[in-house]
Amino acid sequence: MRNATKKKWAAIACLLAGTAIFPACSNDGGEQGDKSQGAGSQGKSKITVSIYERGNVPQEMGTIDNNQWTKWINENGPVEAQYVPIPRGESVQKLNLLFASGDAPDVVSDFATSFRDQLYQQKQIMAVDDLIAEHSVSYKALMEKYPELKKAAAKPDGKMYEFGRVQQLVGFQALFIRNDWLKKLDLKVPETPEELFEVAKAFTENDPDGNGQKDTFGIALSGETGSAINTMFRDVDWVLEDGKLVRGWEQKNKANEFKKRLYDAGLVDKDFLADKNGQKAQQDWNSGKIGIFVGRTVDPVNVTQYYEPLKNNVPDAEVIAIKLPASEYGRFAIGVNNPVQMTTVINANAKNPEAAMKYIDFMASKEAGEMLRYGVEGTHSVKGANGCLKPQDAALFSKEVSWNIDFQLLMSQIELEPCAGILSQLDPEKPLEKEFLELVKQNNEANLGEGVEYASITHGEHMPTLSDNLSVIQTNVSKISDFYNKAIVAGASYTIEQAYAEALDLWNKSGGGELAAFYADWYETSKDTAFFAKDMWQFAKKE
Amino acid sequence: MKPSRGERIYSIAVYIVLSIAGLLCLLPLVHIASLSISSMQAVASGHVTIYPVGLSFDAYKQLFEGTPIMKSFMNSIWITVFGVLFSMVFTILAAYPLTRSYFFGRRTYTFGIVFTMLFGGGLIPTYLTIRSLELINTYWALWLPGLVSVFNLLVLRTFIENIPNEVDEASRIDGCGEWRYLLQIVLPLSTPVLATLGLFYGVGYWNSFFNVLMFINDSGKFNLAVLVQQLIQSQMLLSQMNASGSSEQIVLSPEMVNAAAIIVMVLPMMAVYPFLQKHFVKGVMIGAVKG
Repeated sequence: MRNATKKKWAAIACLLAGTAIFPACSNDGGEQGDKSQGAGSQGKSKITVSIYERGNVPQEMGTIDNNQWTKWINENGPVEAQYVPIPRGESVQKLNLLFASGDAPDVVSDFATSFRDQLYQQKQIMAVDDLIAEHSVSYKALMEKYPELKKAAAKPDGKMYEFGRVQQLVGFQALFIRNDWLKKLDLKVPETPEELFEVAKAFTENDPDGNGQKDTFGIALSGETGSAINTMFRDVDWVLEDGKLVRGWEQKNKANEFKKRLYDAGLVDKDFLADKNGQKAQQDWNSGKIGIFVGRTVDPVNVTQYYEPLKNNVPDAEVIAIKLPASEYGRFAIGVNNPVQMTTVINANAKNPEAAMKYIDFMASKEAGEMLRYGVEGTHSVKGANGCLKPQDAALFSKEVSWNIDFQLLMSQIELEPCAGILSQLDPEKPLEKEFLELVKQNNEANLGEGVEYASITHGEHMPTLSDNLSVIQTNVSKISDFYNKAIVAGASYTIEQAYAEALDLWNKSGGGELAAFYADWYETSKDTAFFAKDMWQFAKKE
Repeated sequence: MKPSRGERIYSIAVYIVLSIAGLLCLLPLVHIASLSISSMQAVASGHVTIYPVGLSFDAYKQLFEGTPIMKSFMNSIWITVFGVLFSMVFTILAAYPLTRSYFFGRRTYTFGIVFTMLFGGGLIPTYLTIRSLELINTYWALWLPGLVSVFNLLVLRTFIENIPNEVDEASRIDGCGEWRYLLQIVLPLSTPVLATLGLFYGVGYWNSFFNVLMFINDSGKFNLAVLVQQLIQSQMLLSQMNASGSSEQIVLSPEMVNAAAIIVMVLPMMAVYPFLQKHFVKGVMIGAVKG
């Protein structure tokens, strides 16, 4: 910035400020003061902790870094945590700045695996094996119960660097289909891509909504539905062949050929490329214009996202969640959660790692987990018919409790089962929620049932860390999808074969070979130690 | 004089082009405004385009009850009002001497000031400087580094230079000193450019996002721009992250609440514009024509 003169003026302005002409200064100082008092916890060691700022804390509840939950944590926990709000949208940028200037909090949580990997490579975070062994109680116990935590936390040097949370494996994405349309047109649930194509064709051309107009789309192609079609053909970039991890070009071509067929036959929204995050498709689904669509069944909020608006628009709509059709590559799960999710690291410069460990221990305990998730029993929550705590008054709960989810990044939901999942949170008394419960069950079956496997070798968050050099290559080759998208929409003038040829060319020129060698090598050396799909499936609910 | 046929066609064409350009700017805003006062049902089904569908003010209710928007709003006002005040004072105090021919070394000063436009310190050095001045977490971190914008300074200097020298001489003869000349002659003559610069600074401070994001570590001090961005980003991120297979689950703020937040953010600046517009047009042309 314009330094020389700025400094001069800055100095003058500081003088002005110093004379306290403006009440602003004293005001700012004051607020700082009460914050540290609020906790009322003398004698506890102090640490700093990052917390996402999402702008969703109601004003009367205070702020994300100073509210009834931070007070509760500081009063009941072993240390005094001072929270540093990290705006969610720019979390990586902000944390990078704090790390670079030496101001980063002692305990840092971020969802971005790549960012935590970067911190590891820059040696900004510490190995925690000894800390856990010496100072942990509840996290250590958790780790003994779920040894996968250790597997997932290990970095290439073999030591653990991360803390995480364990959840039951459930269906995350769901392949929804309009059963009333199937019945009306006398179709059956598609079991293969070919049948899927036929159903989509019928949904588009045979006026399933009966309004006399050809105004429906068979299937969505943007957002998560597009990804699900890729998954159907196991187009997940890296696939196993003869025990080796290789790039799945053939799968990619097959998936895009299928999409091109859908597009050429006019069964999808022609503007799907403009619908970057699938919002348009979701709106079309909600207004009853799309017959096959991928939504989610993982959180009670999904009812209002994917089901309630549809039922309001089309009261007769009947939805089922089906299995992904089986392609020549197999039958795959549409999408599941990451049962062992790493979230938290300790800053290498933390002054008191032991206190940080104690904080993590406390936040991972069942006591803290239940309090943060359900609030105070009797005030926020009551035990329902199924013996699970649930909100007593939805409005009060959302005002006082529901925004604290980012304090639950170390809470292992699996320990609260069967009371943590969506199955226990929906109310079977309400017709809409009852129907959605049915969808949740169908989707768990569709994702986790017999004969369904996970398309990728492991969840994206457990794929290995790329070095800087390889990340650049990765970014460069990501343009490959542009070629395929072009092929989908270009009709006869640009075929999938041409796209493949161009993609391959770009791949070779950008050094894709290095990337392939890295993955092959990684798989070869860590096929016994890394966290794979079979490990994920350990966390599926056993009947 | 009657316009010729060609002129008439030309002006019709101009009107059409400008109307289209105007609509291009206006329609997105109208769309957002309509989203913010439509029912959730209509928004989720994509029925809202230009007109609100199923009139409902729930979004605003949710916004004011469920987010700290009032606090952020007050913070934004605070930042803007004091920021504009400080910036104006120092811009004026810097510009005036540079117009005086008897000010020793004014070319060197001007060069020095313009020279700073060529490069910046980079984020991390700036952060470290601000931290060593102990300005982190205070609004001084927003006000001081950009206190005087060189561009605005030059605009003001040029304007003052164009005040005829005779005015200066006449007031000197009547016994007018520097301060009186500045405050009672120069400033009243410069209202158009002062209004313009005030608006430039005001919009800048009102929209300040990155500096707040980087230099403020206290939720209670975030301004509207940061709040609105976080509300919107949380939603965007969710869909992006999903593509990479992340399982972040959050309570989304519905689209219409985001729309309402955007409206709350742009309204004050839109309200200010009409009052300053007549000065604005005059002020922006300053320096365009040298007489």
